[in-house]
Amino acid sequence: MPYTNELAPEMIKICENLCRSTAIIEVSYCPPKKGAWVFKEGKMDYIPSPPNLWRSLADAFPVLQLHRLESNRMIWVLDHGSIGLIRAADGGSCGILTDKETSNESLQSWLDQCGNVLENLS
Amino acid sequence: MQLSWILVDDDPHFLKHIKDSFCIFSKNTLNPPKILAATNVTDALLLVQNELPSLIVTDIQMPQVDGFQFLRFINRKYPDIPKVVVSGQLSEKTEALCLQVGVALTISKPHDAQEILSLFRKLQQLTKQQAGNQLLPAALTHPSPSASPLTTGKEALMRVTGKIIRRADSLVVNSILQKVKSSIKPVLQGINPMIASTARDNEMVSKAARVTGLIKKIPREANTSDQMSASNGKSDSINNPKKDTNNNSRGFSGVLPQINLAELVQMLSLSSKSSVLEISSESIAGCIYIQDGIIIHAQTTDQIGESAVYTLLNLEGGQFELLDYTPPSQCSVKLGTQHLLIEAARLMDECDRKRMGNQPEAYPSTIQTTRVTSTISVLEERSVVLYESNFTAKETTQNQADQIGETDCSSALLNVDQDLEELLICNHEGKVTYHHGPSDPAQRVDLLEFFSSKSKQVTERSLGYLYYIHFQGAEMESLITLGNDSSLFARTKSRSLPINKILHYAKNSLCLTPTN
Repeated sequence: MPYTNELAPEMIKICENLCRSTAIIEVSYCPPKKGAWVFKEGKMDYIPSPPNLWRSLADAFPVLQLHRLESNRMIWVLDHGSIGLIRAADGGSCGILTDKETSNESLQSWLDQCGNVLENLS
Repeated sequence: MQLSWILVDDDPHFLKHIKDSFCIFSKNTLNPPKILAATNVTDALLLVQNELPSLIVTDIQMPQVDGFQFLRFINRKYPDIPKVVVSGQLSEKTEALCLQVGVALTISKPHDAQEILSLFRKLQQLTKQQAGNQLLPAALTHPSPSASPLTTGKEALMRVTGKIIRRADSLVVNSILQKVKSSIKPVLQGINPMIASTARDNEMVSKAARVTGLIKKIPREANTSDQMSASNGKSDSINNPKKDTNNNSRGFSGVLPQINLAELVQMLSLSSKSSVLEISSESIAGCIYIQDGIIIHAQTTDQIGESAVYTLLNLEGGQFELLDYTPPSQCSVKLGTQHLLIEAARLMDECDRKRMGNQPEAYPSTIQTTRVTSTISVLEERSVVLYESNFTAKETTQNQADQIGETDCSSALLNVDQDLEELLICNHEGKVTYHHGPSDPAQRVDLLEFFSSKSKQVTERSLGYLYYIHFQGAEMESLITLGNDSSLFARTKSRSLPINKILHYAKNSLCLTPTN
């Protein structure tokens, strides 16, 4: 499997833990350069190239930077759920897709957990 | 259908080398792409228009028009064509700029045959994935990595199946349409004379004739004179059989008691159509010219430009007619359509208040109900429930926002604006209708366009309507809401973004429908 070295055990652990929550539909980890790891229904997949929703969303961070809107957190609020993304200083990012019942506070707290692991990795 | 790739690079030697190599590699594939090349953007644009390629590969640094400008144009006009940048100098900034203009892949320029082959394979895979996306349902567009490299046989099968399905669909639709047409035809033939005779007997016709006499006073374009050449104060609809026939054969006539003119204009604006709205009351008559959903000119017997728009939109009653669009002699309206509608609503509120003895609580509820419920869909109502459930902690702001939503559009804008460092509102064409803040509005419009394209990818995942995107940084917070008609960008310096206030403003005053 490609880029295995970029997926740290800590990251696998946190993603697997988050996936156990019934409110979380999908968790992703996008390494700094390319591709994305997706954790869903107890399975782990690596998506190397487009089309890849998580990579595509993570790629929005550098665009925000270009517009002098430096952000490390992005929340997409949709009709059937919410998507939260958090980005570390090295460019790696973590994303969580939750169901529509999940509160903003819960999503923010999960992003905090992912952010802590990401910062330790970078 | 044969696929085609367009390669754009100002270096003719490199271009020839790549093109020849790709031609050799593609001979071994089942559905070899047609490789086309252009050494400048002008030639490339011509090729794109003629060929509608399945892939565009371009360099960035080119004389005259650079690759970014080219890609920006392509991304706007052909957002579904995958774009790849192959450049000798790729920096982080370049990559970010590429992402902004919808580039799917950024690759360094290949130096040897092995690298060219690798580039060819990547491009081939990208084209296959794109083709798969167009044919497969959304749930299947994110294959697992083990399944991602589709075989050419599978791809060919998918293409054929897709074509068959599309052909079958169109045949079924056509057959249904034919059946409906044939069953409706005799009914329509019976109804049309009835409508015509009823209309003739109706007092409205004589009123229309009198009104058209008033409208005649407004100078019109020479090419519209045939439409407006009513003589002796008689209506065109009576004198001009062509127009009469049109009125009977297409469109509707009737009374819209709960819709005001501002809403009618908003509907025309939303549909991005071009037309001339002829309005008349007992005291005044005039025209509003709408081009592609944007008000460009307005005129009454004694006013022109924005003031004419406000006067006409504030009429309490009268008649209107939508005529085919003819360009006006001048473009007297400079303000954006949203801005005009907001200002007209404010003036209407002022008039109402004066009439009601300056008592906001006595504001006629029917008018308010009409203004809100007629333009806001059920989905937007659902969105408010969602906003509220997500942000119940900010009750004070919520209450303020509720009040804003129920009172006045323009004061709501001021109320939102004063809390923000930056606020930008633009229409669906990217025209800025309101901007406050230090940034370049054109760049913000680019950002909104970028997120609009991202939102399409997100909503493809069956996640429903997008309500908003919220960004948090160490020193700022910003929010984007994307609507079918307008989009909004808001930013604060500190982490104090009044999300509910902005969302209520977007919902109630901009009538911002969530995107799907």
